[in-house]
Amino acid sequence: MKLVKDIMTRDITSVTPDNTMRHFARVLANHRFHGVPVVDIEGKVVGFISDKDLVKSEFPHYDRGNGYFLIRDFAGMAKRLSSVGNQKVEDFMTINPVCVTENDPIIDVVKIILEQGFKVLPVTRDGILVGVVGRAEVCNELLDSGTL
Amino acid sequence: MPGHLNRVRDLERHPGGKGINIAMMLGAMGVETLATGFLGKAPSRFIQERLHKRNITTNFVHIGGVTRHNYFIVDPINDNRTLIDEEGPIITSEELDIFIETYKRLLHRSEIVIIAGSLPRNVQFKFYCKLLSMANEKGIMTILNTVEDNMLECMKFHPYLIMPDLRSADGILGIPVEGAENLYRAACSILKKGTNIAVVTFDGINFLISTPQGCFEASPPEIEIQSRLKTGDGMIAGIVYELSRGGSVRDAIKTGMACATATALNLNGNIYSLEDISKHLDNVSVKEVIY
Repeated sequence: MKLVKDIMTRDITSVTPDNTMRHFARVLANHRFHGVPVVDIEGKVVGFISDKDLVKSEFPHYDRGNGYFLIRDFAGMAKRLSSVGNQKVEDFMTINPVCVTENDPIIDVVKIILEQGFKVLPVTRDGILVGVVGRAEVCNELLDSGTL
Repeated sequence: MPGHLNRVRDLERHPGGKGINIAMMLGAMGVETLATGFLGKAPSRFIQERLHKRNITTNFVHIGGVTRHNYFIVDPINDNRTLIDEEGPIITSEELDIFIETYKRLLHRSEIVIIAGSLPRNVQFKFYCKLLSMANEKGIMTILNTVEDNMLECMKFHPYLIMPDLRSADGILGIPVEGAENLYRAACSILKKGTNIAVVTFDGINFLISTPQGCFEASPPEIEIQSRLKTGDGMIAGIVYELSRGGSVRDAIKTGMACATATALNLNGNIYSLEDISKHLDNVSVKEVIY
């Protein structure tokens, strides 16, 4: 049985609760991510913040039910974040996000992705961020080995 | 050939730089390793993917500038090697601040911190002093591998191991970079400045390691050297591998020499597994010396 640690991406790019939304937008722009874990000073996962949260911060009345909202230029958006740019990540993040551990079976990730619609999940060891796993890693594994 | 069209027959691309080299070697040896630093736009994905393949965790600060390319040109006809180092990008003060915040967080999960390589051209040596000081506050073992100009002030923060980068130096602490006696003097002088292990090499293949337990000369077995590009990085990686397992200093030097030997046998200086190193353990020479 393959485990999360066999396919996870060992990158722990993250933001902290007291980082500004402008900083978060720059992280997304520089790394081309759609979201990152939020960690405390010890690296413990305390939240998750995504591009959707960024949209909601700039357009509070944005309603997902009305259709798709595409952000084509995160860098430009980071510059435009005049109103909420100095507000903190903790005001917009999802608290206590769903995480998996590196020794969980991959199939658990698939269930969470399918049932709860997440694109990416933080991977932890004793609560500390050690990587991320999501649709991309699961798809790559399926393409490479044809099975989970 | 200068002044002519020169076609490249064979090209390999590898992520590099002292810190990356050491991390890649530790990853190959199965040591849980985390790489951080500054990554420019162009090759960031390539570098991170190569590190991830070695099970190395990454947490880089992505910067606006472009990461430099260095070129190692092998001329098999004239049997020489040429290294061309580009100058790296400017790092903004904001990018430096983000790095410090990241580093501070990473210290919580670190047992050994290796600070290696040159500094960005607009960053002063005090930056390394700050990193050492922050690690000291957490009681974390530190290792410093850089040029003398960056090293001198940093010695006040007593890195556990210091290895000066002498590749383009004429001397170290006023001692000329030639001769066995000078090698010994250089290692002892660095040790006296306040470190536990001083590693010095003048030729990239024979090492003098000065410790409070004694001074050791480490040499490879009789081998056909392909490259001295990463032998110093190999020495550090081997020492760190052994220290991380609680090994003795003498064993650490032996493993360091075995690792340096393994890198010397590959033109690209890479090692791919612990077996690449362990097969040299019985053949390297580590002997205590007194001048």
